[in-house]
Order: sequence, then C-alpha cells, then structure tokens
Amino acid sequence: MGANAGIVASVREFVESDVRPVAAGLEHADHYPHDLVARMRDLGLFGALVPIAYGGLGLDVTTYARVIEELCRGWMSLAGVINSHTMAALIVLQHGTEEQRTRFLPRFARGEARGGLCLTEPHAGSDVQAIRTTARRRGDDYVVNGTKMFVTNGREGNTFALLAVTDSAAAPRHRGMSCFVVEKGDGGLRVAQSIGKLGYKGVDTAELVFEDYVVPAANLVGGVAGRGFKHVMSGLEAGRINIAARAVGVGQAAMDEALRHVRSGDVEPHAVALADMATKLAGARLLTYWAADMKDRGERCDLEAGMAKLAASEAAQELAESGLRIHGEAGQLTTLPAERLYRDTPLMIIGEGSNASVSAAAHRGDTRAPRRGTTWRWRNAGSCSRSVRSSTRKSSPSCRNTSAAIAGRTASWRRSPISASWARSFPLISADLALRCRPPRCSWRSSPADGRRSPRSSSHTSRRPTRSLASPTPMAVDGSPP
Amino acid sequence: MTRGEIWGTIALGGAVSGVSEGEGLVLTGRTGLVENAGRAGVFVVLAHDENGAPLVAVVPRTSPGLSVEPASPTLGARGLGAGHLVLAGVRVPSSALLGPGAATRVRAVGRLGLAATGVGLAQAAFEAALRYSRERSAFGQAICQHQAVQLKLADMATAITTARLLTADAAEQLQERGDDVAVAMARVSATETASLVTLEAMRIHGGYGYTTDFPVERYYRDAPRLVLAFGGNDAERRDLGVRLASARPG
Repeated sequence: MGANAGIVASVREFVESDVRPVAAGLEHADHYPHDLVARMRDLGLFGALVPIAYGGLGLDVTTYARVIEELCRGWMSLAGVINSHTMAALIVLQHGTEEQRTRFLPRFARGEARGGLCLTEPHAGSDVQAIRTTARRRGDDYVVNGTKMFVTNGREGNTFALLAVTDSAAAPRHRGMSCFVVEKGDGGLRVAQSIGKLGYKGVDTAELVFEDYVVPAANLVGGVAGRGFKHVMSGLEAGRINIAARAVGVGQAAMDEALRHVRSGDVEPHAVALADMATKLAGARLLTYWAADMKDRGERCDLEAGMAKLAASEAAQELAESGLRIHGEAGQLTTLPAERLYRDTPLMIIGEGSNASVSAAAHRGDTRAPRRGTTWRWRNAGSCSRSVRSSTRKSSPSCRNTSAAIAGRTASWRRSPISASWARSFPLISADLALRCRPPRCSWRSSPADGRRSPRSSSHTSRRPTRSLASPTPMAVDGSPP
Repeated sequence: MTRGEIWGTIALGGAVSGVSEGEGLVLTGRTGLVENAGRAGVFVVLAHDENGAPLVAVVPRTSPGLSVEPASPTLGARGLGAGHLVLAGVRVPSSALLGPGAATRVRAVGRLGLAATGVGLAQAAFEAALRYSRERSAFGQAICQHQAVQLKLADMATAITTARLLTADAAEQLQERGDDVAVAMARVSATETASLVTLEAMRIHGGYGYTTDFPVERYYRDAPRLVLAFGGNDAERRDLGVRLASARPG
C-alpha cells in the first residue's frame, strides 16, 4: 500500500511554514504548543489511524509513519502529542467493544478527547508486569488507586488508556491486568508533577495520581477483565514503528541542519561525515518503511518494528552528534537547532522499550521459549499478541539457539519484494553527489509524491533518476495529491 | 592570579590577528567561545601574525578596544558566563607577549585540561549509573545483576581507565619533554569516552535518565563541549595523523 501523498505533503507544508519558525522558542520556554496542536487538529491528525467510519482519516501505517517523520523534522515534541493519543485510540479501536468504539473514537478523531497512555509506574518501566495500580470492582464501577509515571499529554490530555491490576491473585500476574479508558473531570485523578526533561520539551510529561478514582465498568476495554496486558502490548508494533519514524525525522533534521551549515562554507572537510550520516539515515528510513509496510499488509512485524526502532534511534543519535561536530563550537549554542536534536534523540533510544530490551527481544526472535518461569518471556517485551498466546502453552526451553529464530525469519525477508528491489537499485551515496543533486531550498529527501522535485535532481543519477537521492524511498508512492 | 585575586581565562579559538606596531602589537578580531569571559580579569589570547605564526598575549580586561560579547545560552557547561572577546585594535606591549613556543604550550595545557575534564565527567556518569543500577530493580532483581547492564558497566569502566591512563601519560610527557603528541591522543580518547559514557549512563537510567531529576542529563549535555572545543576532535586527529606520518621511522 502506498503512502497517502496528499496528507504527507500537507504536513510538510505545515511544518515548514508554521512549525520551524516557532519550534526553538516553544522548546526553550517549555511552552505547550496550543496553536500548533489546533492546526494539527484541523489537519485531522488526531484521527490519523482512526477509520473513516469513526470520523478519522483512516491512514495506513506507512503514511502515518511519514506524517510522524515530517512532524519530527520540524519539532519532535509535536509527534508526542499525536502519538500517545493515537496509541490510546488504537487500544479502543482494536480491543474495545462496538459501543466503546462508537462512544470514544469520533471524539478521539476530532481531538475533543485528547489521549495518552497510563502504563509506566515509578518503579516499573520495562517490567510492565510489576505495576501496582489497582482497579477494584464496586457495583457498576471500578475504583482505581495508584501512580502512573511519564504520561505524555498527562496535563493537557483528558482521556487515557490505563493499565491496572484487577485481580492481584492471578498467575501469571499479567492475566490479572485490565485496560480502562479513564477521563479527567470527576475527581480522584490529579497531576502530581510535570517532569523536567533533557529534551522533548513543550509537550507535557506528567506523573498522574489516582486516589479512589471511579471509572464505570462500561469503560473496561473489551468488556472483559484480565486482557489489559495483551491490549497494551499489542500496540508495541505500531508504537515502535512510530518511534522509528520519529528518529528518522529527527535524523533528517540533523542532516538538514548539517547541510545548511556546510553549504555556507567549505564542504570538503565534512564530506566523509556527511556521507556516513546520509547512509545511516537512508538505512534507518528503509527499515522503518519496511516494517510499516509489513504492518499495512497485515503481517506480523514485531521483530521488524523492533529492528527499525533500534537502528533508527541509534542512527538519529549518531546523526545528531555528527551534526554537532560539523557545526563546531557553534553547535552548542541554543540559537541553532543542532543542540536540540542532540537532546531530543536519546528519547527514542530509551522510550517505547529501551534499546537494551528491544535488542534482546529482536535477538531472541519470536520462537524463543521462556527460560525461567513465566515471567521471563516478558522481560524483554517481546511484545504483541502472539507472544501472549505463546505464554499460555508450555514450550521447551530452546532459546539458546537464538540464530534459529533469526534464520527462520530471514527466509521471509528474502521473499519481501522491497528488500530485493532496494538492494539492487539504491544508488551509491557520496556527500558530493548528495549536495549537488539536492534541490535548492528544499528537503534533502523530497519525495516525488509531492511533485516538488527540482529538475536538477536527476542530473547526477543517469540510469535511475527515480531512485536518486532525492527519493531514497523504495516504497511506491502514488503519484499525485488527491 | 595564583592567589585567585584576579581570574584568568584562555581564549584560543576564533580568528584574531596581531599586527606589530612599534614596541608591541595591535590585536584585531573575535575569539571563539571563552569560558568565564564575563568574570575574568585577564585573558590569555591566541593570535596569529601577518605570516600566520602564532602569538600569545596577556590582555587585561580593562584594555581599551576590548569588549566581551555574551554568548547565547549553550547546551552544556552552563553558568560559566561564556562569551566571545571582541578585539578592536587592542594595543599590547611586547612585555605582555609570551615567549616563543608559548602558543603550543598554552594549547597543549588547554587540551590536556579537556582530556582531564572528560575523564572526570565520564567517571561521574559512570558512578551515577553504577549507583542507580544497584538501587533500581526490575524483573525481581537489581538491574546491575542483569547481564545487559553489566556488559555496559564493563565497557564504560574500561574506556574510562584507558582515557585516564592516556591523560596521565600525556601530562607526564608534556611536563618532562614538552611533547604534546600524547596530549592529542588523550584528548581524543577522553572526550569521546565522555560522550560515550554519558550516553550509556543515560541508557542505564532509562526514562529517569532523561529527566532533570538525575544528573546524567546534565552530563550528557556537558560532554559535547569537550569534543568541540579548540577546533574539535577532527582537527586533533588530523594534526596527530600529520605528525605521525611525518615522524621519522624508528
């Protein structure tokens, strides 16, 4: 499925005209970007993945990834506003009852309900099974008590997907967890603090405290208790693709800034660094689109999404650091975006399953069996519903042979039409070529889908102009905006 | 200066030209980022004469034609009142010029300082990470018991030890032989160790490492300055490479 070029182009335009000029100011003041959020609502981005039937845009994941990328190219914090919201909406969409979908999704799509995820707790991050927030049944309601940490949109949002323990006696623990849609307003829910951060400012990250907070049983996602852990974990594929897309966007911004700086002086000393940056960025982008494309085809892609997240987040941090070096001492000044990108990128390494746990999961692959007891399989957040199912059956401990899992999956990679085509057609990169074939005052990567490619862009790619650097994506993108 | 009655600071970067005039020199230009520029009473300024040869001059803050231009806030190393010196025809008597070889020596000491700062910064980040990994538990045990964390700690400690030894060796060679080849190695190793270890420390802290409640986010912000200062590590590498290549074999 190709990306919806129209929306991507609109977002890019929005970022160029509205976001870039104000991003630095909002970031350093740590001001919530109310105006930009209103503009994103007008663009329909709050309903990006909500089906048209429920009032959303009904975008595919590939397009969503490209939208996130474009936002991050201007200012990463904007993607945080959209993404936590989208994750909450997806939980309702994929696991809610029809009544819940009808009740919540149109409001999510319109941006009236502004969402977030209440998952992490002060003592439990990667170890989701260790959460302690409880939801106890009382008549037609549940009473919630506990503390949730690092809730993106916690202060500005009003509707959250909450994971809580409904049966503390359940074994394994995750079978006693349930997901609720909780709304602000009736008391019992307060914002304890907004958390100061290295980067990713402007968007609020909060600690939320639930004290005898009452949520109607009608808001129990899916109407059945004990499935919440599965609901939350099933979002990790989309979550990791999103983080990868963010990293690609921030990496692109680092590339943009480095090129902008270099073009004002002598290119030669930086040519090697630029070529390395461009290569890392292209690799990260391809992995991300590849995982997104699998998701759109309905294939399982936890491993691929994990790889994309891993590669793209590390690449983004490296690009940001290289960008600083290319700027020299000026890179440290808060008047230039380079230092912001350096502060933003660790978020992608740490968030949505830190890279330490994602790499362990990707390494183990999906066929691994639990090593010790039932908790092990969750240690590395192997994510997704398939792992949940496997937890219900006993399988032999064969995880030592990790390469078998990888080997099994590589067979399917080879079948992927993308991997074969891009390996053949992707052009060699040199910084020199990159600089010359880049259209003036436009992006490093301007997609043909936007119809804005400079005629100069094909001059250095003799055989395959459509695979020039101006269009590194091997994904088919349909031609014209709607 | 030794008694701390006046503060001094060095201004090594930027482009300052020195034109001889009578008994002394006239300095013109703008320096790179100078720490303590707001408070220092005396600046040691690196300039280049008409032939490109380096000169080092001691310039009091009160010199006519000297002004301090405050820099915009920086990523790290905050609170030092960093700024640029703007020299508009500042006259310096020959008595305020340091002798031959001073430029190299001043630069060497400055770069050695960067290396030592890198070692200290990396050590601080390492200790913070070690402490946190003992206090924080996940999956039923302290995270320092997880192999993924242990491997990181091992790499961090190894890199820091290497950088520290290189730095100590560089100091000794500079002291005894005035040789600054080892300084280049120490600077590259220690400053890049600082970059690496501060990021690793943040990874070990997880989400909390990204918050301002823990010091690692500051360490992460402080590290790039060491890599970027005085022309940056790439220049350091180029100089080192040239010197290694042109050295006599044996």
